[in-house]
Amino acid sequence: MTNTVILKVAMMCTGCSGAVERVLSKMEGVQSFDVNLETQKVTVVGTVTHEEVVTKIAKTGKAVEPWSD
Amino acid sequence: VEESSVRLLIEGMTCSACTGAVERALTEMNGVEAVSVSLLPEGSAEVRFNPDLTGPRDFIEVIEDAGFDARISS
Repeated sequence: MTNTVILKVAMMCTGCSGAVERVLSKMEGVQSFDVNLETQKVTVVGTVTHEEVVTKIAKTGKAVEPWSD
Repeated sequence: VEESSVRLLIEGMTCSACTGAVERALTEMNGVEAVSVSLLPEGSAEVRFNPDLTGPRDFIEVIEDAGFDARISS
């Protein structure tokens, strides 16, 4: 069942957003993702749950929060 | 306690937040005694560790989980 997970991730520079992109590109079940450094918004589409994405990105050492707009 | 150290080359780190994330990830590992991550002259990390508890393969895995590429400096 395909989900869209949207998170707010504290990224300081292109190195940080690059790290998040690299981790997501290796993640199982991810069909597509978008990492936006300006808005700090990370969108992931795939057969992955919210918790799985949060756990994966938290391993990069960056603060992760649910996206609330 | 017998101790070893290894130097790892890390690609993708460009700011202090990146080095901080790698330093934290390595320091939290069981068996790691000391970690020093630097950006210049190139991205690298010097890790002192207890070889009975952990080793370079674990460091590379943790660094890749953090979103960077790492290999042992020859």
